[in-house]
Amino acid sequence: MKRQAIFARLGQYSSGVAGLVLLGAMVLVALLAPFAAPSDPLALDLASKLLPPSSDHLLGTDQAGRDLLSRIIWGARESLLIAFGSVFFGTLFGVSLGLIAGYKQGTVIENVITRVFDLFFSIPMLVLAIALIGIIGTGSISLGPLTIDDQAKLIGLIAFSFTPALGRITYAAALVESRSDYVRAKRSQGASPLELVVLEILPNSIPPVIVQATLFIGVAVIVEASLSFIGLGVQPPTPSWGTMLADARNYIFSGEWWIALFPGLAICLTVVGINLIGDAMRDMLDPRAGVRSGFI
Amino acid sequence: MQGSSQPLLRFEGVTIATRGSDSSRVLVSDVDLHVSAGEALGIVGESGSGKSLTALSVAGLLPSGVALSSGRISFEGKVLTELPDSALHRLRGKQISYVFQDPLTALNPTITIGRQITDVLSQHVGGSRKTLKRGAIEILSRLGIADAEKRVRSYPHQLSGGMRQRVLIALAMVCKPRILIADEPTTALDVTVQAKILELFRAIRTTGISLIFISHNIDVVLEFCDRVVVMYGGRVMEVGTAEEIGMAARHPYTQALLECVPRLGTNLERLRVIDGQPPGAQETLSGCPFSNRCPRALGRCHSEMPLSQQASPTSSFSCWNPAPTLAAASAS
Repeated sequence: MKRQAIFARLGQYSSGVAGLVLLGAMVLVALLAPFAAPSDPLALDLASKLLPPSSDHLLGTDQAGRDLLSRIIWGARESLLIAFGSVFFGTLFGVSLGLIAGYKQGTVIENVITRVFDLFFSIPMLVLAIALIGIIGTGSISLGPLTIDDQAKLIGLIAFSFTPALGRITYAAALVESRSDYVRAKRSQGASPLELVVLEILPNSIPPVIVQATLFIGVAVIVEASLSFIGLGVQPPTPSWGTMLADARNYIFSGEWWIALFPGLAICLTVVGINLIGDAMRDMLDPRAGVRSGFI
Repeated sequence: MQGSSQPLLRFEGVTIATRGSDSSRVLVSDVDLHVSAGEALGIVGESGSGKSLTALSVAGLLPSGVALSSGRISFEGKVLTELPDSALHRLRGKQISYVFQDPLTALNPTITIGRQITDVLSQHVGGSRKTLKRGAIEILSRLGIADAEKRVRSYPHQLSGGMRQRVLIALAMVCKPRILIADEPTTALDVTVQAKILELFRAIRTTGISLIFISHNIDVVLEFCDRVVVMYGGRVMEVGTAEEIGMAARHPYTQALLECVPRLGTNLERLRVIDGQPPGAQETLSGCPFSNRCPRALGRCHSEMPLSQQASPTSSFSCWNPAPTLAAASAS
């Protein structure tokens, strides 16, 4: 595609571009945290605790004198890693199961997979996550040489709670696609079941999944923050936006507004950015919108 | 024409029914057919006559919920109906190829047409990327796609309906199969494009490949095939060479089909219309499926399925009360 054509098309999705800029900035800051953060996010300095924003501490300090800006920057790492990681694995599992169920329609396999999806659908995502954390506990556990820290646990947990929704979307699309003429035609040309699923059904079922997965990145940021806020997620002193909010709740009414405001703003801007991207993707991938051409 | 002693493909008593123990419906019953090497067999019938199911059953492509309930299909001496699916999918595309009705939906919209052709080639023939690509370009240009070097990089939506049908035929022909099964390959196309695609099939016939050509248009089939099978309600009504069917059909249904098509040199004021509806798959019939619409139906037509009668060494029909041939009727 010509460069002008790309810009012309992006112009139709200016809100999506805005979202991309927002999220891109967050990701960049998170990646460059060691260089971008003005000071150590864990360094205690009780002499300068609860300072309002100033030229020394752009966003102020918290109750232990830690620089808020540095903590938000390092927290971006934690929050975004968990968000992207959980959506990646959730999509991987959900799409695989959905494709199998859709391709094996009319069999026991289809019934088992879809009924399990239904089962987990009946429990709200956050409640499910809290219940599972209650079972596996917080902190890191060791399985032989493998250490699962709370970050990996959170990724797995949120991925698990996303799997049924993404799986069902994939299943619905795969159900339609596997009955389509070109799959039948491909079968008549001697393609194996694996080829049919990977080359024919998957690429044609994936657009709605991409949209939902994008929106789920925002949800994952919120879930991570919520779990950390109630003490079931990332454990202090590691900074994450959720734990920072949890620390801040004691200071909201005593006038130290900056401790709660800035992490909250970070969450808010990230989620808005992701949702703008998700909405633009939905419009782009919607065949009825009439602007689709080979974007997968 | 080759003798029928050693046919390439043979159907024996093929019956296709919906699966399900309590509500099994017979959709195609007791079909006996054969296709010799290099021969073109036409199958004619209305929608729901079972012609597509018959064709799909060859390579085990029946839709889920429908299955062969009895009979056997053999190809080059191998009994296809007893082969496992893994063996069948090596035959599909390589020995037995299909071209389906709707070229607009039969190509994967997310893959370039060149890639779709090289995929089939690499699966059945193999070779380096370069040879595969050359093979794809060669078959496309041989099937009349101009500028094939550029076209291999196109996606299906960038091509017209006629071009897409050519691509589908290319996909079916690229591995040089023994038999090509074309299920209404021109129905979804414009009339002018139809003529060009038929021209293409005529050219394909000269390569010695066997062809099963399915259509609801009896004229196309008569013009184009060596032998013709007329199906109705899941049964074979009449079989014969194209000349026999066109000039000396005995079955009232075949005659009705012929009279539905305008012809030069005749002075009909109105074209014939076959009254009534073809039987649905829900109705269980004891007699001839055409009996409710047949002007010549006798009492026993409604209760007893007529047996196949030999009318000539190459033709047979299933009717209790066959009509005189159209030629004889117009002479009297």
